[in-house]
Amino acid sequence: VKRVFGWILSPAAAPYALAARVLVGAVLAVSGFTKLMSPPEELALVMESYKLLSPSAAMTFARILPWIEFLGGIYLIVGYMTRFMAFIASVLFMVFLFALLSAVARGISLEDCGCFGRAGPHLSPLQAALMDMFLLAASVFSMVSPHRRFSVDGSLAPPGAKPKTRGV
Amino acid sequence: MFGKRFAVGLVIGLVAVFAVLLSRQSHWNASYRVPSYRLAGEPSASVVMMEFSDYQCPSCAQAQSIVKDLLGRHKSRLKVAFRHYPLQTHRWARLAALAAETAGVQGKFWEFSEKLFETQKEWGASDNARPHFIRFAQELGLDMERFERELDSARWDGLIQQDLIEGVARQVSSTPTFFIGERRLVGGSQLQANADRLIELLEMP
Repeated sequence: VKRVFGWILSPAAAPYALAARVLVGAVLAVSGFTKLMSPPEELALVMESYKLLSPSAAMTFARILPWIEFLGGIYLIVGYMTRFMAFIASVLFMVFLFALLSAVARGISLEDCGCFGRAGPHLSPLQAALMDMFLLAASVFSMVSPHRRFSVDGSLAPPGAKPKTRGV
Repeated sequence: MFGKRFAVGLVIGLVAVFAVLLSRQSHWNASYRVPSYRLAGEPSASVVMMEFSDYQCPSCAQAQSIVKDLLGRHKSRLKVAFRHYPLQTHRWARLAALAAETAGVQGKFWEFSEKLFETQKEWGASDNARPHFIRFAQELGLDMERFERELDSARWDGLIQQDLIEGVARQVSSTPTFFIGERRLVGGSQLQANADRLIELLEMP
């Protein structure tokens, strides 16, 4: 664990931190955007199929969730409040994983995970779970990493801040 | 420092929100024109519920009882307009819509639709659904020569295509999708949870 954290803090991890942040941000932004382009009722229907929410709760989440994903994704891509946005992303991926795994455990057959709305690519529950696990790891990495290359956070850091946390 | 940080975040957020709002498709022009035989309920009813449905979709078959209950509860104020939305993933859905339309011009649209939904599993899984549709037409006492001729020549396919075009314009992608006024409801559970309230709201002077 010490070695892993040592590597995360080392300059060698900076390009990976940048890649992880942009990847998580891009996936969230695209996923939120495709959902926002479709009527929320479509997403609510997919949420209902998980049998975790009532129709009215699903509708409320279907209106809010795409905006959180989209704006969180955009802020991660540009590196604004990276740590907080990566935390939000980690929570989202944990919730998605819980929903998927609990649906599989309860024997609910999901035609489509609904990860990218109705219009986007359709993933099976297994594909979606693997993707969520990978993205959860990437967002946790972005959250704990101190590197802020090519980011708004790095550009706004005071001149005296640690060099490795500043923009290139 | 905090003010600058907040301002930068606000600008990025606003640009992103405007990009989404500009990319969203504009609203459709509401048109409720469907052949009269595809209207159920009181003709003078003030509230129109439009149903985009696919005869081979199991959720559509399940939703029919909810539609019937609604028509029973709101007898004088609700009418239902049926729109075809056969999905490409359902092999016989378009032919079923064509058969229903062909029966419709002979005045048996709803009876034929009911048979299609009730026996969906039977003809949906068959290698050839046509004989099933012919049998339904016979059972309903239709003019068989005319039915078969119009079914085989796809005479009323234009009406189905028109529904599909309108469905796409309304961003319908799942069936059944209902519209009560401007409000969209996707699937039976959303219909059951919201329809009564919406009908009452639209009825208010």
